[in-house]
Amino acid sequence: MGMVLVGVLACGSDEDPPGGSGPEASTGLPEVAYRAPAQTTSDTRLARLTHAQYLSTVQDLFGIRDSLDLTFAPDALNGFAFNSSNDFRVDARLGPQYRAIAESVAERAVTEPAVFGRLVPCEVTVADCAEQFLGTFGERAFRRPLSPEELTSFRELFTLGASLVQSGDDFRDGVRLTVESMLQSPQFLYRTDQSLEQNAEGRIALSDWEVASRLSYFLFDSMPDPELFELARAGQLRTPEQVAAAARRMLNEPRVLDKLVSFHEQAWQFGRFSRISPDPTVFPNLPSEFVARVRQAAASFVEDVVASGGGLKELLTAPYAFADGGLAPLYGMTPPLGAAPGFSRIEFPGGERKGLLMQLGFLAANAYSVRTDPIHRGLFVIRDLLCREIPDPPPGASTTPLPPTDEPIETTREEITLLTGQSFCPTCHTQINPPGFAFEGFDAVGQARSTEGDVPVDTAAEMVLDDRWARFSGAGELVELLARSEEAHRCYASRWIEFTFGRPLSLEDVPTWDAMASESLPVADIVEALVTSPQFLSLSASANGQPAASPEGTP
Amino acid sequence: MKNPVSRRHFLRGFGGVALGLPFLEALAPRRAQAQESAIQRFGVFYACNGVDMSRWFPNGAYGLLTEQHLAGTANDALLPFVSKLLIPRGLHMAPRSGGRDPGGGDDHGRCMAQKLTAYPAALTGGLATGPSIDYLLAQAINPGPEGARRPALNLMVGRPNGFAGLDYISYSGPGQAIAAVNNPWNAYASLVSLNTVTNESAEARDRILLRRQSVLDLVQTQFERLRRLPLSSNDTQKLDMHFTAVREVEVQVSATGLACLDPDIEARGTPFRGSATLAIEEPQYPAVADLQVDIFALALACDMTRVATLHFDRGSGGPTFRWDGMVHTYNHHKLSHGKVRDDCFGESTAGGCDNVAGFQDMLFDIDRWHQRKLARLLGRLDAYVEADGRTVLDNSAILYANEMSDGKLHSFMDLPFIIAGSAGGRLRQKLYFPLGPEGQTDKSAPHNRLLNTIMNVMGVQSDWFGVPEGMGGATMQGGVYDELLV
Repeated sequence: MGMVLVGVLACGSDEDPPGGSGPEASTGLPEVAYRAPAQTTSDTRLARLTHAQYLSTVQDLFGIRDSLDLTFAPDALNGFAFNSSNDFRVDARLGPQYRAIAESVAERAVTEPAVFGRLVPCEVTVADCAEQFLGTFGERAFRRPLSPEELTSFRELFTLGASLVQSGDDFRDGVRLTVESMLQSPQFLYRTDQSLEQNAEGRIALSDWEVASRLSYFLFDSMPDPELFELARAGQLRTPEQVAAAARRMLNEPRVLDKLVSFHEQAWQFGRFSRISPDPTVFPNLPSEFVARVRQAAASFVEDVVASGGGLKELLTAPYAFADGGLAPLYGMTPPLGAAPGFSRIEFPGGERKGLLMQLGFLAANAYSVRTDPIHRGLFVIRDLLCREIPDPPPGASTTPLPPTDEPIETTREEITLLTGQSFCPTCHTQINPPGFAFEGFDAVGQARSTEGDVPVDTAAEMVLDDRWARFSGAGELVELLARSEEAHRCYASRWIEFTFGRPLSLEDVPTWDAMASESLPVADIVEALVTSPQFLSLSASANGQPAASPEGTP
Repeated sequence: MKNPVSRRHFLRGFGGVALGLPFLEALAPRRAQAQESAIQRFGVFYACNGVDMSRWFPNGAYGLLTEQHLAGTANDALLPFVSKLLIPRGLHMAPRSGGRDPGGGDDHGRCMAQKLTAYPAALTGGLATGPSIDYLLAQAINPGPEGARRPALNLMVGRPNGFAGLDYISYSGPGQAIAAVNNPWNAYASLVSLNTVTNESAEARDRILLRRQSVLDLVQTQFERLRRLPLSSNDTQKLDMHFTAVREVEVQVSATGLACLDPDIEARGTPFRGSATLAIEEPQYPAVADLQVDIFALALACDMTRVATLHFDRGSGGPTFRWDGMVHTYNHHKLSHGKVRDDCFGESTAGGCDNVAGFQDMLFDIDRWHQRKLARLLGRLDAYVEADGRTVLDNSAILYANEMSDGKLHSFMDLPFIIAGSAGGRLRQKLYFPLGPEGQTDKSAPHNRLLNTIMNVMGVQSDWFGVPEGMGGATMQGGVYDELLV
């Protein structure tokens, strides 16, 4: 057995994760470190809209379909968290940009009749038309009814419009100022959760309006639609059953599919596709735009699995892929004559390829220009599919020389084994390398191969999975094992929790996590489990924090 | 023009509610604008993956920098500016990388995070644990409306990759990276739309100002309403940062009276219109580079900002240079390791891992390409003559920095730096000067002291730059390099 048993990992926790899939100390298996749930839950009351959410919200609110020429300062990502939107802030660049775009949209609101008609539900000559506008537009902009105090404030500003704008049309001037100010209000720019009362469980229950916004930004990436607003107004978003019903209705909308695909693109690092750079002299058969094609093909596969009621199991094992005329030959398939250009589904008879990891995109994204990259293929399995804690390589790792050897090195696997067998490398690489070696039956662009040079590839290896040794020969066996593994389902569920709530998994999430990871759920069922969870319908008490310290000597 | 009523309303609105620091700052009296003869600017031009060390530095003895010094080096494009250059030698990064000082991230990540901050990268995520010099200088010298501060202009060429520590060089604080704008259209449009020179009368401008102030007063009330909620400290910080960013309204007119709309930039930038983050494709790289350089120069010359940075892609990556006479097959990072391929480990020659034929020349060509972009920037800045008879370049300090020195070694020692412009006569010029020995030493001349020198040159008194002494490793130093000063 080529595997070295390792001790406690350099930067991992040696505690079992709650929920109980950790290794038993007595089994003699290598210790595995999991990404442990955080002790505290970092809920926010103020989730700033992402730039994409801002755009679709303004489009929905005003009935505008163009791109608004947004030039917002980009957001920085906070390290390795894949959905860090809870941390997004308004810096000195973005603040004035919000003002500029608010002024430009407000101008359109009073100069484009269709937009004006959408905002103002009455004849402007009607006595209470301003009041109607403030009530209806305010409710849609803030995604809840305005408080009496807010109504008073905005009414005052509306009245000031005539003197401040001086266009000669007093009503329009009032509308313009109202729009300018609401679009710059934090109640518009953030998804705000303002509820205060704790429920029997000590959590802060959200209002129907807040739940409507949560559902909407989670699944639509935009403001609530009329149906959601109606449910909120009627108080019909209280119970998990009501919320589940609302979510099921939303799941039929095509735009939800985009969001569900986007989860997988982020969680599974489709961004790595941009690193694909095969050597054109070694792979002269690649079609043009190879990177864009494999990316599109991967997204099409995820979309198809999700839309047809699949979940993690199907994503890992469904024996088909999407390809166009340029990609099909790389799968050893001839594109059907006369087939329409574009992507179509191709089946792999006998399951010679199964799931996303055996498709061109993943294989090429985790490869070098000429040779395969078993380390990164394996790392993906360990880190992204199993959520194990693997520290970044230490300084100098990438320039470590191969140790001297008398044996000629013939394969990538031999070289990697030799290279990572030195010093303290095995601490991590005994975990990383074996699943990576399973993919050695595919070259650097994902074509099937049985030899490397003249030497047959060796795809047999073993790893610890669900506290047991799992042995496999080839990627097909590995992905079947992963698809049945509780660890993988637990990891997948935790990524959904992090994506949905925009924060690291915490101890408070464990019951929800357990319920989502018990079996391979269709993605739609995972969404339902998420939106009916206490985490979705209420805030952790931690969101209350401590009031800011009172400064001494306030003037 | 401020409405005094709004201040009283502001105070009354808060009543007994606690005030956070930024809100208090908003009430502080404004510092009077100093009547200076000329304004000073600071810029950073940052390239990655190290350089061809054999042909980057001046050719010849220390002392007076001559044209012969630059001829045949990567810097030969800078010949026209030889009298305005200061090239210090022998500097090393501090804190050090390569495992010598505490900190996270790999060598590339550390060098990206630390070069402008002199704070170590965090163990998790690899972001810098302190602010960068561009942010600090903007806070100190970049005037905004009514004494507030305008942010630095942060630009990049290339696209962010999502490997956080490698994507940023600028930080406002620990873990608070500032994402540079990689879309030149967005950079330009944001600058000019926020700096509109209105042809309207003073009366009309006052009316716009009054209207914006009235809107802001209401928006401020809306902030106060949220501020009354029980909030986590993180949420409180978010709200305060946001309000600080919008608390001053303005209708800005150009300070220098230059025409700050540039139809040429606008025309060349239009193809990039319409996406928040430009997914730049490699063929676009040179065009984006020229645009970002021109926007950088325009912004400094027009006093839209006094602090700007521009970085070229990222460490451990970079484009495959296939333009301007270069026909490379491997990207910048791969070439920096001198390898035929990116899958050749260490010094192994197994499997045909010999050094790529002519890789050193390819790196040299990449260096020269970057320095031609630097020359373009300097040329633009030097073309604007200011009221004091100096050019904008003379009144600036433009710092060329690189992530590394020898990319193959991942070296943080003997770093390539250039300072162009004298910052209004404060920095020595036409000089090639040793601050430390050449070669691989990390003991004598830490770069955090160079950053501290620049702080002082830009008029900000500072004894120390970067992570506090004792927390960043043994080789950091306070004070300034007097040898560089006039």
